[in-house]
Amino acid sequence: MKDYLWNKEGSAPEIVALEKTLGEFKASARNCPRPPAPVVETTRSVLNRFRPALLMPAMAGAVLVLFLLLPSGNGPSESASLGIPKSESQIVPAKPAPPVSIPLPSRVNPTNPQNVARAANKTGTPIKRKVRKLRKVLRKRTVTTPRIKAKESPEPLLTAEEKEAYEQLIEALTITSSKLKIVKEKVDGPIGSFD
Amino acid sequence: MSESEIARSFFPVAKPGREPAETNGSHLSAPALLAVRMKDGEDAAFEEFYRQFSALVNGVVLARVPYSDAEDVVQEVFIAAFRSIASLRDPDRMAPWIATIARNRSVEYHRRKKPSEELKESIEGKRGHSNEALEALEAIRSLPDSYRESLTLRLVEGLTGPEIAELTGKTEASVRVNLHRGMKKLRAKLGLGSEAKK
Repeated sequence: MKDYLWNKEGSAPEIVALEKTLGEFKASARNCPRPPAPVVETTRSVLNRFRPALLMPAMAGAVLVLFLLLPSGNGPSESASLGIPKSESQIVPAKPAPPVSIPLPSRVNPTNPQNVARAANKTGTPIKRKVRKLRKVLRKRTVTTPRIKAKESPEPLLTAEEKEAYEQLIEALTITSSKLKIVKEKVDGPIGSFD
Repeated sequence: MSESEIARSFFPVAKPGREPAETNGSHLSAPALLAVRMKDGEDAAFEEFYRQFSALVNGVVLARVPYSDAEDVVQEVFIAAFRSIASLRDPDRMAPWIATIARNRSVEYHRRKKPSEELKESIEGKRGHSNEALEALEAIRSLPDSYRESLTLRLVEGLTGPEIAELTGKTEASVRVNLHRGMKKLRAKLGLGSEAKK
């Protein structure tokens, strides 16, 4: 099939003229560009090369140091450094003697070794108090930002039964706290006598 | 490891129907060998590569980029292709691969192009191209995207329809349709023949 536009067979003077005109822009009129120079890898310093590898251990180390330095409430490191035993299982064999000299509360059965151990644990008071004192000092030193009063949320609407239950719970908590206070005083002795 | 062994490790099989290259008994196709030579950084391979595909790249770029900047973009395309030859999986599809690079670079050109005033025809004409030629090229560039690439390859580079289909990776039918419809629109734009009378 003669179709000049498709396979240059036949004649189409219009297209031939266009080809001639546009032939000025042919690629063959251009020179071949020079091939690009091979990419040379720049040398990196040893520190740069190992930066990603060093980053993670460094961060882990920093976190560990922070964890050790910061005073935490129940941090195992603090208790360990102060010689406070971690669990009751550690205490039982180590403190058979002290309960003898300690005035145990009347409700505590001295024959039960667990009770004795608990009481013995409470005898570590001088250290604990020192820790508490230290914490208080630290708290005072830390700069506290003024607290912004939160918007008072409207009181929840309670039914009569819910109110009664709420009051009973509060009462029970009050009683429990007062009882605990009495026990604590009995165990620790009067305030100011530990020194 | 000899060159042919390395080549086979990159491009294991030459496509059936293609003529294998006549090189020390290896069954690699000519484009595969060319790709291997380019990977080795051979200057002669780059020149051969340019000779083979400059018409295609020029046609693809000219269909999208003004002539004044087309040369730079064409060079960028070849350099980019030379550097990324390792990413070419099937060397027998080297032509469609470089055509895609050319299309992408042309799009990139328009993305990074700063707004500037077009040169007046009289000034442009001084560069050695007739106003008629520039006008015809501009008319092709104003056509829809699917027509202008086929038309530049046909009218500027003088490739036939089957050649365009093979190089661009399109079907012959679609190239034929694009050529005829594009030509019709071009005639109307330039005021040629029967289309001008309508």
